[in-house]
Amino acid sequence: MRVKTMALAAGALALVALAQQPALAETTKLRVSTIPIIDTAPLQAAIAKGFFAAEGLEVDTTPTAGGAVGLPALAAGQVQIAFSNIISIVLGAKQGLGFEIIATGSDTGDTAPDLAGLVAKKGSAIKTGKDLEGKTMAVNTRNNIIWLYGRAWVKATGGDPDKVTFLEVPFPQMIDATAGGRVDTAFVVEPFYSAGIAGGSVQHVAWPYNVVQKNIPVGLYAATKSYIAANPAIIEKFNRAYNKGVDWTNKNAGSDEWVKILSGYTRLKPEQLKGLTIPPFQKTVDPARIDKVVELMKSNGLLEGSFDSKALVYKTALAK
Amino acid sequence: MAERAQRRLGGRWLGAALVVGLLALVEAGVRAGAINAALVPPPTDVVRRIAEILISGDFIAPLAATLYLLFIAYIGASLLAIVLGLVMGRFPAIYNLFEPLVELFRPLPKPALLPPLILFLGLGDLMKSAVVGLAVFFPVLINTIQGVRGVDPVLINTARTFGYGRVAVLRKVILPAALPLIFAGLRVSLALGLILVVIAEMLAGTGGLGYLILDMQRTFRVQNMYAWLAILAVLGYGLNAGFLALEHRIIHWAAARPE
Repeated sequence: MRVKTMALAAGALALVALAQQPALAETTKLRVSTIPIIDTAPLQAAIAKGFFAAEGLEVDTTPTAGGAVGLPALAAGQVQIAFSNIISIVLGAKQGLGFEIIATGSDTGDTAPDLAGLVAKKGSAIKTGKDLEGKTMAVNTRNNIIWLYGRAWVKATGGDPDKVTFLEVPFPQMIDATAGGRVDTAFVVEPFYSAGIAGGSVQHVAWPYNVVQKNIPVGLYAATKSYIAANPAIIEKFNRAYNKGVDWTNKNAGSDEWVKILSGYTRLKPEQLKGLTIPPFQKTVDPARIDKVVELMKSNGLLEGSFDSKALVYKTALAK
Repeated sequence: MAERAQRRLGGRWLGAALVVGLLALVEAGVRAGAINAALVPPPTDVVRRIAEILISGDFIAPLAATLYLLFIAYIGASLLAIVLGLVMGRFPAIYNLFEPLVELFRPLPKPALLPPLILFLGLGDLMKSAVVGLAVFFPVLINTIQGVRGVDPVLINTARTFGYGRVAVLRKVILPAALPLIFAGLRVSLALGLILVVIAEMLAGTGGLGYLILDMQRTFRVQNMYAWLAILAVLGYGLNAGFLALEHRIIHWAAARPE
Protein backbone atom coordinates (compact mmCIF):
# COMPACT_ATOMS: atom_id res chain seq x y z
CA MET A 1 0.00 0.00 0.00
CA ARG A 2 2.77 2.40 0.98
CA VAL A 3 4.90 1.46 -2.05
CA LYS A 4 1.93 2.12 -4.34
CA THR A 5 1.35 5.58 -2.82
CA MET A 6 5.01 6.44 -3.15
CA ALA A 7 5.06 5.31 -6.79
CA LEU A 8 2.00 7.44 -7.53
CA ALA A 9 3.59 10.45 -5.82
CA ALA A 10 6.84 9.95 -7.73
CA GLY A 11 4.93 9.71 -10.98
CA ALA A 12 3.01 12.90 -10.23
CA LEU A 13 6.22 14.76 -9.38
CA ALA A 14 7.86 13.56 -12.59
CA LEU A 15 4.89 14.81 -14.61
CA VAL A 16 5.03 18.21 -12.90
CA ALA A 17 8.78 18.42 -13.53
CA LEU A 18 8.35 17.54 -17.19
CA ALA A 19 5.61 20.13 -17.51
CA GLN A 20 7.97 22.78 -16.17
CA GLN A 21 10.80 22.02 -18.60
CA PRO A 22 9.54 23.76 -21.76
CA ALA A 23 8.78 26.93 -19.77
CA LEU A 24 12.32 26.99 -18.31
CA ALA A 25 13.93 26.60 -21.73
CA GLU A 26 12.32 29.78 -23.08
CA THR A 27 13.69 32.51 -20.78
CA THR A 28 17.01 32.60 -18.96
CA LYS A 29 17.11 34.31 -15.60
CA LEU A 30 20.11 36.56 -15.15
CA ARG A 31 21.05 38.19 -11.86
CA VAL A 32 22.89 41.45 -12.33
CA SER A 33 24.31 43.48 -9.48
CA THR A 34 23.93 47.21 -10.09
CA ILE A 35 24.42 50.58 -8.46
CA PRO A 36 21.48 53.03 -8.46
CA ILE A 37 23.39 55.76 -10.33
CA ILE A 38 23.32 57.32 -13.78
CA ASP A 39 25.89 54.87 -15.13
CA THR A 40 23.40 52.01 -15.19
CA ALA A 41 20.69 54.01 -17.01
CA PRO A 42 21.16 52.07 -20.29
CA LEU A 43 20.68 48.78 -18.46
CA GLN A 44 17.54 50.03 -16.72
CA ALA A 45 16.27 51.45 -20.01
CA ALA A 46 16.86 48.11 -21.75
CA ILE A 47 14.87 46.36 -19.00
CA ALA A 48 12.05 48.92 -19.07
CA LYS A 49 11.78 48.91 -22.88
CA GLY A 50 11.73 45.08 -23.03
CA PHE A 51 14.98 44.67 -25.01
CA PHE A 52 16.14 41.87 -22.71
CA ALA A 53 12.80 40.11 -22.82
CA ALA A 54 12.97 40.17 -26.63
CA GLU A 55 16.26 38.22 -26.38
CA GLY A 56 14.74 35.70 -23.98
CA LEU A 57 16.48 37.10 -20.91
CA GLU A 58 14.86 37.93 -17.61
CA VAL A 59 17.16 40.37 -15.83
CA ASP A 60 16.89 40.55 -12.04
CA THR A 61 18.82 43.51 -10.60
CA THR A 62 20.37 43.67 -7.15
CA PRO A 63 21.38 47.20 -6.09
CA THR A 64 24.60 47.55 -4.10
CA ALA A 65 26.66 50.40 -2.68
CA GLY A 66 29.39 49.88 -5.27
CA GLY A 67 31.40 47.50 -7.42
CA ALA A 68 33.57 46.60 -4.45
CA VAL A 69 30.43 45.10 -2.91
CA GLY A 70 28.94 43.57 -6.07
CA LEU A 71 32.11 41.85 -7.31
CA PRO A 72 32.47 39.51 -4.32
CA ALA A 73 28.91 38.38 -5.11
CA LEU A 74 30.05 37.77 -8.69
CA ALA A 75 33.04 35.77 -7.50
CA ALA A 76 30.79 33.70 -5.26
CA GLY A 77 28.38 33.00 -8.12
CA GLN A 78 25.43 34.79 -6.52
CA VAL A 79 25.14 37.09 -9.53
CA GLN A 80 26.12 36.29 -13.10
CA ILE A 81 26.97 39.84 -14.19
CA ALA A 82 28.10 42.76 -12.05
CA PHE A 83 28.26 46.45 -12.81
CA SER A 84 31.39 47.80 -11.23
CA ASN A 85 33.94 50.57 -11.44
CA ILE A 86 37.05 49.69 -13.42
CA ILE A 87 39.35 49.78 -10.38
CA SER A 88 37.57 47.00 -8.53
CA ILE A 89 37.41 44.87 -11.68
CA VAL A 90 41.15 45.29 -12.27
CA LEU A 91 41.93 44.50 -8.63
CA GLY A 92 39.80 41.37 -8.69
CA ALA A 93 41.27 40.20 -12.00
CA LYS A 94 44.79 40.82 -10.69
CA GLN A 95 44.08 38.61 -7.68
CA GLY A 96 42.98 35.80 -9.96
CA LEU A 97 39.20 36.04 -9.56
CA GLY A 98 38.70 35.61 -13.31
CA PHE A 99 36.72 38.78 -14.08
CA GLU A 100 36.24 39.81 -17.70
CA ILE A 101 34.51 42.90 -19.07
CA ILE A 102 31.55 42.03 -21.28
CA ALA A 103 29.86 45.39 -21.79
CA THR A 104 30.74 49.04 -21.44
CA GLY A 105 28.95 51.25 -18.97
CA SER A 106 29.94 54.85 -18.48
CA ASP A 107 32.68 57.10 -19.76
CA THR A 108 33.60 60.51 -18.43
CA GLY A 109 33.95 62.16 -21.81
CA ASP A 110 36.52 64.87 -22.42
CA THR A 111 34.94 68.04 -21.01
CA ALA A 112 33.31 69.12 -17.79
CA PRO A 113 30.62 68.75 -16.57
CA ASP A 114 30.99 65.01 -16.42
CA LEU A 115 29.50 62.15 -14.43
CA ALA A 116 30.55 63.06 -10.92
CA GLY A 117 31.33 66.21 -9.01
CA LEU A 118 32.89 67.12 -5.69
CA VAL A 119 30.49 68.98 -3.43
CA ALA A 120 30.79 70.69 -0.06
CA LYS A 121 28.31 72.23 2.33
CA LYS A 122 26.92 75.56 1.18
CA GLY A 123 29.23 78.31 2.35
CA SER A 124 32.24 76.05 2.75
CA ALA A 125 35.66 77.53 1.99
CA ILE A 126 37.10 74.35 0.49
CA LYS A 127 38.33 74.95 -3.07
CA THR A 128 41.45 72.80 -3.54
CA GLY A 129 43.01 69.59 -2.33
CA LYS A 130 45.21 71.60 0.01
CA ASP A 131 42.07 72.87 1.78
CA LEU A 132 40.99 69.26 2.31
CA GLU A 133 44.03 68.27 4.36
CA GLY A 134 42.86 67.18 7.78
CA LYS A 135 39.27 67.03 6.56
CA THR A 136 37.00 64.30 5.18
CA MET A 137 35.73 63.24 1.76
CA ALA A 138 32.83 60.86 1.31
CA VAL A 139 33.29 58.05 -1.22
CA ASN A 140 30.85 55.22 -1.86
CA THR A 141 33.49 52.60 -1.07
CA ARG A 142 37.21 52.86 -0.56
CA ASN A 143 39.76 51.43 -3.01
CA ASN A 144 37.54 52.09 -6.02
CA ILE A 145 37.47 54.68 -8.80
CA ILE A 146 35.83 57.41 -6.74
CA TRP A 147 38.43 56.96 -4.01
CA LEU A 148 41.35 56.79 -6.45
CA TYR A 149 40.39 59.85 -8.49
CA GLY A 150 39.44 61.71 -5.31
CA ARG A 151 43.00 61.17 -4.11
CA ALA A 152 44.42 62.04 -7.51
CA TRP A 153 42.46 65.31 -7.52
CA VAL A 154 43.72 66.20 -4.02
CA LYS A 155 47.27 65.61 -5.25
CA ALA A 156 46.70 67.49 -8.53
CA THR A 157 45.40 70.53 -6.65
CA GLY A 158 48.28 70.80 -4.22
CA GLY A 159 47.24 68.58 -1.33
CA ASP A 160 48.54 65.39 0.28
CA PRO A 161 45.97 62.58 -0.16
CA ASP A 162 47.30 60.77 2.91
CA LYS A 163 46.24 63.73 5.05
CA VAL A 164 42.62 63.44 3.89
CA THR A 165 40.25 60.98 5.58
CA PHE A 166 38.04 59.03 3.18
CA LEU A 167 34.78 57.83 4.73
CA GLU A 168 32.39 55.35 3.14
CA VAL A 169 28.90 56.74 2.52
CA PRO A 170 26.51 55.22 -0.06
CA PHE A 171 25.78 57.59 -2.99
CA PRO A 172 22.10 58.19 -2.10
CA GLN A 173 23.14 59.45 1.37
CA MET A 174 26.09 61.61 0.37
CA ILE A 175 24.23 64.91 -0.04
CA ASP A 176 22.57 64.57 3.36
CA ALA A 177 25.86 63.64 4.98
CA THR A 178 27.54 66.73 3.51
CA ALA A 179 24.72 69.12 4.29
CA GLY A 180 24.52 67.71 7.81
CA GLY A 181 28.23 68.21 8.43
CA ARG A 182 29.03 64.53 8.89
CA VAL A 183 31.58 64.83 6.06
CA ASP A 184 33.29 67.96 4.71
CA THR A 185 33.05 67.02 1.03
CA ALA A 186 31.54 64.28 -1.06
CA PHE A 187 32.54 62.95 -4.47
CA VAL A 188 29.06 62.16 -5.75
CA VAL A 189 27.89 60.82 -9.10
CA GLU A 190 24.84 61.72 -11.11
CA PRO A 191 21.94 61.86 -10.66
CA PHE A 192 22.56 62.56 -6.98
CA TYR A 193 24.98 65.37 -7.81
CA SER A 194 22.43 67.40 -9.77
CA ALA A 195 19.69 66.63 -7.27
CA GLY A 196 21.91 67.90 -4.47
CA ILE A 197 22.96 71.08 -6.27
CA ALA A 198 19.35 71.79 -7.22
CA GLY A 199 18.31 71.25 -3.60
CA GLY A 200 20.55 74.11 -2.54
CA SER A 201 22.15 72.54 0.52
CA VAL A 202 25.51 71.86 -1.11
CA GLN A 203 27.75 73.73 -3.51
CA HIS A 204 30.00 72.60 -6.36
CA VAL A 205 33.73 72.40 -5.67
CA ALA A 206 35.30 70.64 -8.66
CA TRP A 207 35.06 68.00 -11.38
CA PRO A 208 37.79 65.63 -10.12
CA TYR A 209 37.62 63.16 -13.03
CA ASN A 210 38.16 65.82 -15.63
CA VAL A 211 41.03 67.47 -13.79
CA VAL A 212 42.98 64.21 -13.61
CA GLN A 213 42.25 62.32 -16.85
CA LYS A 214 40.00 62.55 -19.89
CA ASN A 215 37.80 59.75 -21.18
CA ILE A 216 37.99 57.46 -18.20
CA PRO A 217 36.08 54.19 -18.64
CA VAL A 218 34.44 54.51 -15.24
CA GLY A 219 31.95 51.68 -14.91
CA LEU A 220 31.66 48.47 -16.84
CA TYR A 221 29.81 45.17 -16.74
CA ALA A 222 31.85 42.12 -15.77
CA ALA A 223 31.30 38.38 -15.65
CA THR A 224 33.57 35.51 -14.69
CA LYS A 225 35.67 33.70 -17.31
CA SER A 226 34.09 30.38 -16.36
CA TYR A 227 30.55 31.72 -16.84
CA ILE A 228 31.43 33.28 -20.20
CA ALA A 229 33.05 30.04 -21.40
CA ALA A 230 29.97 28.06 -20.39
CA ASN A 231 27.37 30.53 -21.69
CA PRO A 232 28.72 32.51 -24.69
CA ALA A 233 25.27 32.74 -26.28
CA ILE A 234 23.75 34.35 -23.20
CA ILE A 235 26.58 36.91 -23.10
CA GLU A 236 25.96 37.76 -26.78
CA LYS A 237 22.22 38.16 -26.11
CA PHE A 238 22.89 40.34 -23.06
CA ASN A 239 25.22 42.50 -25.12
CA ARG A 240 22.76 42.92 -28.00
CA ALA A 241 19.91 43.92 -25.70
CA TYR A 242 22.15 46.17 -23.60
CA ASN A 243 23.56 48.01 -26.62
CA LYS A 244 20.00 48.68 -27.76
CA GLY A 245 19.53 50.26 -24.34
CA VAL A 246 22.65 52.40 -24.90
CA ASP A 247 21.32 53.62 -28.26
CA TRP A 248 17.93 54.41 -26.78
CA THR A 249 19.49 56.30 -23.84
CA ASN A 250 21.78 58.37 -26.06
CA LYS A 251 18.82 59.30 -28.23
CA ASN A 252 16.24 59.92 -25.50
CA ALA A 253 18.25 61.41 -22.64
CA GLY A 254 16.26 64.24 -21.10
CA SER A 255 12.89 63.01 -22.32
CA ASP A 256 10.02 62.42 -19.91
CA GLU A 257 10.14 58.67 -20.40
CA TRP A 258 13.85 58.67 -19.57
CA VAL A 259 13.26 60.76 -16.44
CA LYS A 260 10.56 58.29 -15.38
CA ILE A 261 12.91 55.32 -15.73
CA LEU A 262 15.68 57.15 -13.89
CA SER A 263 13.36 58.21 -11.10
CA GLY A 264 12.17 54.63 -10.73
CA TYR A 265 15.49 53.07 -9.90
CA THR A 266 17.21 55.98 -8.13
CA ARG A 267 14.14 56.87 -6.08
CA LEU A 268 14.66 60.55 -6.80
CA LYS A 269 11.74 62.80 -7.74
CA PRO A 270 11.34 63.61 -11.47
CA GLU A 271 11.72 67.34 -10.74
CA GLN A 272 15.21 66.73 -9.36
CA LEU A 273 16.23 64.91 -12.55
CA LYS A 274 15.18 67.43 -15.17
CA GLY A 275 18.06 69.18 -16.85
CA LEU A 276 20.56 66.41 -16.15
CA THR A 277 23.38 66.43 -18.71
CA ILE A 278 25.69 63.46 -19.11
CA PRO A 279 28.37 62.39 -21.59
CA PRO A 280 27.07 59.91 -24.20
CA PHE A 281 27.25 56.23 -23.29
CA GLN A 282 29.68 54.02 -25.23
CA LYS A 283 29.33 50.48 -26.56
CA THR A 284 32.98 49.51 -26.57
CA VAL A 285 36.00 50.15 -24.39
CA ASP A 286 39.57 50.86 -25.49
CA PRO A 287 42.12 48.82 -23.49
CA ALA A 288 44.61 51.69 -23.86
CA ARG A 289 42.35 53.82 -21.66
CA ILE A 290 42.29 51.05 -19.06
CA ASP A 291 46.11 51.09 -19.18
CA LYS A 292 46.05 54.76 -18.14
CA VAL A 293 43.84 53.90 -15.16
CA VAL A 294 46.21 51.06 -14.21
CA GLU A 295 49.11 53.55 -14.25
CA LEU A 296 47.26 55.74 -11.77
CA MET A 297 46.54 52.72 -9.60
CA LYS A 298 50.23 51.82 -9.56
CA SER A 299 51.28 55.33 -8.57
CA ASN A 300 48.80 55.21 -5.69
CA GLY A 301 50.06 51.90 -4.40
CA LEU A 302 46.91 50.04 -5.37
CA LEU A 303 48.58 47.71 -7.85
CA GLU A 304 52.02 46.18 -8.24
CA GLY A 305 53.56 44.47 -11.22
CA SER A 306 52.22 44.10 -14.73
CA PHE A 307 48.60 44.00 -15.87
CA ASP A 308 47.23 42.99 -19.26
CA SER A 309 44.31 45.31 -20.02
CA LYS A 310 43.60 43.66 -23.37
CA ALA A 311 43.04 40.27 -21.70
CA LEU A 312 40.55 41.89 -19.35
CA VAL A 313 38.07 42.74 -22.09
CA TYR A 314 35.90 40.08 -23.75
CA LYS A 315 35.22 40.39 -27.44
CA THR A 316 31.70 41.73 -26.92
CA ALA A 317 33.10 44.92 -25.39
CA LEU A 318 35.92 45.46 -27.88
CA ALA A 319 35.64 47.58 -31.01
CA LYS A 320 35.24 45.35 -34.06
CA MET B 1 44.76 14.04 40.76
CA ALA B 2 47.42 12.97 38.25
CA GLU B 3 44.87 10.82 36.45
CA ARG B 4 42.48 13.77 36.17
CA ALA B 5 45.25 15.96 34.77
CA GLN B 6 46.16 13.34 32.19
CA ARG B 7 42.55 13.07 31.04
CA ARG B 8 42.31 16.87 30.71
CA LEU B 9 45.57 17.00 28.73
CA GLY B 10 44.43 14.23 26.40
CA GLY B 11 41.26 16.19 25.66
CA ARG B 12 43.10 19.40 24.77
CA TRP B 13 45.49 17.70 22.36
CA LEU B 14 42.56 16.11 20.57
CA GLY B 15 40.99 19.50 19.93
CA ALA B 16 44.24 20.98 18.65
CA ALA B 17 44.72 17.97 16.37
CA LEU B 18 41.25 18.56 14.89
CA VAL B 19 42.07 22.18 14.05
CA VAL B 20 45.36 21.19 12.42
CA GLY B 21 43.58 18.39 10.54
CA LEU B 22 40.94 20.75 9.15
CA LEU B 23 43.61 23.24 8.05
CA ALA B 24 45.51 20.45 6.32
CA LEU B 25 42.31 19.45 4.54
CA VAL B 26 41.78 23.03 3.31
CA GLU B 27 45.43 23.22 2.21
CA ALA B 28 45.10 20.02 0.21
CA GLY B 29 41.82 21.16 -1.30
CA VAL B 30 43.21 24.48 -2.49
CA ARG B 31 46.45 22.99 -3.85
CA ALA B 32 44.45 20.36 -5.73
CA GLY B 33 42.26 23.08 -7.23
CA ALA B 34 39.02 21.88 -5.65
CA ILE B 35 38.69 25.12 -3.68
CA ASN B 36 39.09 28.46 -5.44
CA ALA B 37 42.44 29.85 -4.27
CA ALA B 38 41.30 33.41 -4.98
CA LEU B 39 38.54 33.05 -2.37
CA VAL B 40 40.21 30.68 0.10
CA PRO B 41 44.01 30.93 0.00
CA PRO B 42 46.15 28.00 1.20
CA PRO B 43 46.53 28.24 4.99
CA THR B 44 50.34 28.08 4.65
CA ASP B 45 50.25 31.29 2.57
CA VAL B 46 48.12 32.97 5.20
CA VAL B 47 50.50 31.87 7.96
CA ARG B 48 53.40 33.30 5.95
CA ARG B 49 51.53 36.60 5.56
CA ILE B 50 50.79 36.70 9.30
CA ALA B 51 54.50 36.22 9.99
CA GLU B 52 55.31 39.05 7.55
CA ILE B 53 52.87 41.38 9.28
CA LEU B 54 54.17 40.52 12.74
CA ILE B 55 57.85 40.79 11.85
CA SER B 56 57.49 44.07 9.99
CA GLY B 57 55.58 45.58 12.88
CA ASP B 58 52.70 46.61 10.61
CA PHE B 59 50.26 45.24 13.16
CA ILE B 60 51.10 47.77 15.85
CA ALA B 61 49.29 50.82 14.48
CA PRO B 62 45.95 49.14 13.65
CA LEU B 63 46.04 47.12 16.88
CA ALA B 64 46.69 50.28 18.87
CA ALA B 65 43.82 52.08 17.12
CA THR B 66 41.35 49.29 17.85
CA LEU B 67 42.48 48.81 21.44
CA TYR B 68 42.43 52.56 22.13
CA LEU B 69 38.79 52.82 21.04
CA LEU B 70 37.85 49.67 22.92
CA PHE B 71 39.50 50.56 26.22
CA ILE B 72 38.31 54.15 26.41
CA ALA B 73 34.70 53.09 25.89
CA TYR B 74 35.04 49.91 27.97
CA ILE B 75 36.54 51.54 31.05
CA GLY B 76 34.22 54.54 30.92
CA ALA B 77 31.04 52.54 30.43
CA SER B 78 32.03 49.86 32.98
CA LEU B 79 32.72 52.40 35.71
CA LEU B 80 29.41 54.10 35.02
CA ALA B 81 27.59 50.77 35.02
CA ILE B 82 29.18 49.63 38.29
CA VAL B 83 28.32 52.87 40.08
CA LEU B 84 24.75 52.88 38.80
CA GLY B 85 24.42 49.15 39.49
CA LEU B 86 25.58 49.59 43.07
CA VAL B 87 22.97 52.23 43.85
CA MET B 88 20.25 50.52 41.85
CA GLY B 89 20.89 47.22 43.60
CA ARG B 90 21.04 48.77 47.05
CA PHE B 91 18.21 51.30 46.94
CA PRO B 92 14.83 50.05 45.63
CA ALA B 93 13.59 53.58 44.90
CA ILE B 94 16.47 54.23 42.49
CA TYR B 95 15.99 50.81 40.96
CA ASN B 96 12.32 51.49 40.26
CA LEU B 97 13.25 54.84 38.77
CA PHE B 98 15.68 53.47 36.18
CA GLU B 99 14.40 49.98 35.55
CA PRO B 100 11.92 50.77 32.74
CA LEU B 101 14.58 52.79 30.90
CA VAL B 102 17.11 50.00 31.25
CA GLU B 103 14.65 47.37 30.08
CA LEU B 104 13.86 49.52 27.04
CA PHE B 105 17.44 49.67 25.80
CA ARG B 106 18.97 46.48 27.11
CA PRO B 107 17.25 44.01 24.73
CA LEU B 108 18.15 46.10 21.67
CA PRO B 109 20.97 44.49 19.67
CA LYS B 110 23.52 47.28 19.88
CA PRO B 111 24.66 47.14 16.21
CA ALA B 112 21.11 48.27 15.38
CA LEU B 113 21.88 51.53 17.18
CA LEU B 114 24.63 52.40 14.71
CA PRO B 115 22.40 54.19 12.14
CA PRO B 116 20.77 56.59 14.65
CA LEU B 117 24.13 57.15 16.39
CA ILE B 118 25.72 58.01 13.04
CA LEU B 119 22.97 60.56 12.49
CA PHE B 120 23.49 62.16 15.90
CA LEU B 121 27.21 61.83 16.42
CA GLY B 122 28.60 61.65 12.90
CA LEU B 123 31.20 59.18 11.69
CA GLY B 124 34.02 59.95 14.09
CA ASP B 125 35.53 58.46 17.23
CA LEU B 126 32.75 59.82 19.46
CA MET B 127 30.13 57.74 17.66
CA LYS B 128 32.29 54.61 17.82
CA SER B 129 33.00 55.08 21.52
CA ALA B 130 29.29 55.64 22.14
CA VAL B 131 28.18 52.44 20.46
CA VAL B 132 30.89 50.37 22.18
CA GLY B 133 30.04 52.02 25.50
CA LEU B 134 26.36 51.20 25.09
CA ALA B 135 27.15 47.57 24.37
CA VAL B 136 29.46 47.31 27.39
CA PHE B 137 27.15 49.17 29.78
CA PHE B 138 24.18 46.84 30.11
CA PRO B 139 25.72 43.44 30.96
CA VAL B 140 27.90 45.08 33.61
CA LEU B 141 24.91 46.98 35.02
CA ILE B 142 22.65 43.93 35.23
CA ASN B 143 25.37 41.78 36.78
CA THR B 144 26.26 44.49 39.30
CA ILE B 145 22.63 44.78 40.39
CA GLN B 146 22.40 41.00 40.79
CA GLY B 147 25.71 40.91 42.60
CA VAL B 148 24.58 43.58 45.06
CA ARG B 149 21.29 41.85 45.70
CA GLY B 150 23.01 38.54 46.27
CA VAL B 151 25.23 39.81 49.07
CA ASP B 152 24.77 37.81 52.26
CA PRO B 153 22.69 39.97 54.67
CA VAL B 154 24.83 38.67 57.54
CA LEU B 155 27.82 40.53 56.10
CA ILE B 156 25.86 43.78 55.92
CA ASN B 157 24.44 43.41 59.43
CA THR B 158 27.87 42.66 60.85
CA ALA B 159 29.20 45.82 59.26
CA ARG B 160 26.30 47.81 60.62
CA THR B 161 27.02 46.42 64.08
CA PHE B 162 30.50 47.85 63.76
CA GLY B 163 29.01 51.27 63.08
CA TYR B 164 29.61 51.52 59.31
CA GLY B 165 27.57 54.19 57.59
CA ARG B 166 25.63 53.65 54.34
CA VAL B 167 28.44 54.66 52.00
CA ALA B 168 31.04 52.67 53.93
CA VAL B 169 28.86 49.57 53.77
CA LEU B 170 28.55 50.00 50.01
CA ARG B 171 32.21 50.57 49.45
CA LYS B 172 33.77 48.10 51.89
CA VAL B 173 31.28 45.25 52.12
CA ILE B 174 28.84 45.19 49.23
CA LEU B 175 31.22 46.07 46.41
CA PRO B 176 33.82 43.40 47.26
CA ALA B 177 31.10 40.79 47.86
CA ALA B 178 29.49 41.56 44.52
CA LEU B 179 32.80 41.50 42.62
CA PRO B 180 32.58 37.91 41.32
CA LEU B 181 29.32 38.66 39.52
CA ILE B 182 30.56 42.07 38.41
CA PHE B 183 33.62 40.44 36.87
CA ALA B 184 31.40 37.96 35.07
CA GLY B 185 29.55 40.90 33.55
CA LEU B 186 32.81 42.64 32.71
CA ARG B 187 34.07 39.58 30.86
CA VAL B 188 30.91 39.32 28.73
CA SER B 189 31.10 43.05 28.04
CA LEU B 190 34.71 42.78 26.90
CA ALA B 191 33.71 40.29 24.21
CA LEU B 192 30.71 42.42 23.19
CA GLY B 193 32.85 45.55 23.13
CA LEU B 194 35.36 43.95 20.80
CA ILE B 195 32.56 42.88 18.44
CA LEU B 196 31.08 46.37 18.35
CA VAL B 197 34.43 48.07 17.85
CA VAL B 198 35.15 45.89 14.82
CA ILE B 199 31.69 46.55 13.35
CA ALA B 200 31.98 50.29 13.99
CA GLU B 201 35.40 50.36 12.33
CA MET B 202 34.02 48.54 9.29
CA LEU B 203 31.14 50.97 9.00
CA ALA B 204 32.90 54.25 9.70
CA GLY B 205 36.50 53.56 10.46
CA THR B 206 39.74 55.27 9.57
CA GLY B 207 42.12 52.64 10.94
CA GLY B 208 42.15 49.61 13.17
CA LEU B 209 41.62 45.92 12.57
CA GLY B 210 37.98 46.01 11.43
CA TYR B 211 38.74 48.75 8.92
CA LEU B 212 41.71 46.79 7.56
CA ILE B 213 39.79 43.54 7.18
CA LEU B 214 37.13 45.32 5.11
CA ASP B 215 39.77 47.21 3.14
CA MET B 216 41.54 43.99 2.22
CA GLN B 217 38.25 42.52 1.04
CA ARG B 218 37.55 45.64 -1.03
CA THR B 219 40.89 45.27 -2.81
CA PHE B 220 40.55 41.48 -3.08
CA ARG B 221 43.76 40.97 -1.10
CA VAL B 222 42.32 37.79 0.35
CA GLN B 223 45.49 36.49 1.99
CA ASN B 224 45.91 39.75 3.90
CA MET B 225 42.25 39.67 4.88
CA TYR B 226 42.55 36.22 6.45
CA ALA B 227 45.86 37.17 8.07
CA TRP B 228 44.30 40.18 9.78
CA LEU B 229 41.29 38.06 10.74
CA ALA B 230 43.64 35.60 12.44
CA ILE B 231 45.37 38.47 14.26
CA LEU B 232 41.96 39.69 15.42
CA ALA B 233 41.14 36.19 16.67
CA VAL B 234 44.39 36.10 18.64
CA LEU B 235 43.54 39.53 20.07
CA GLY B 236 40.16 38.29 21.25
CA TYR B 237 41.72 35.24 22.83
CA GLY B 238 44.49 37.30 24.40
CA LEU B 239 42.08 39.84 25.86
CA ASN B 240 39.99 37.10 27.42
CA ALA B 241 43.03 35.27 28.82
CA GLY B 242 44.44 38.52 30.20
CA PHE B 243 41.11 39.35 31.78
CA LEU B 244 40.88 35.93 33.45
CA ALA B 245 44.37 36.33 34.87
CA LEU B 246 43.43 39.75 36.25
CA GLU B 247 40.22 38.36 37.69
CA HIS B 248 42.04 35.57 39.53
CA ARG B 249 44.40 38.06 41.14
CA ILE B 250 41.74 40.53 42.23
CA ILE B 251 39.11 38.17 43.56
CA HIS B 252 41.39 35.39 44.70
CA TRP B 253 38.98 34.43 47.43
CA ALA B 254 36.26 33.52 44.91
CA ALA B 255 38.56 30.99 43.21
CA ALA B 256 39.06 29.24 46.56
CA ARG B 257 35.32 28.58 46.76
CA PRO B 258 34.36 25.16 45.35
CA GLU B 259 32.69 25.66 41.94
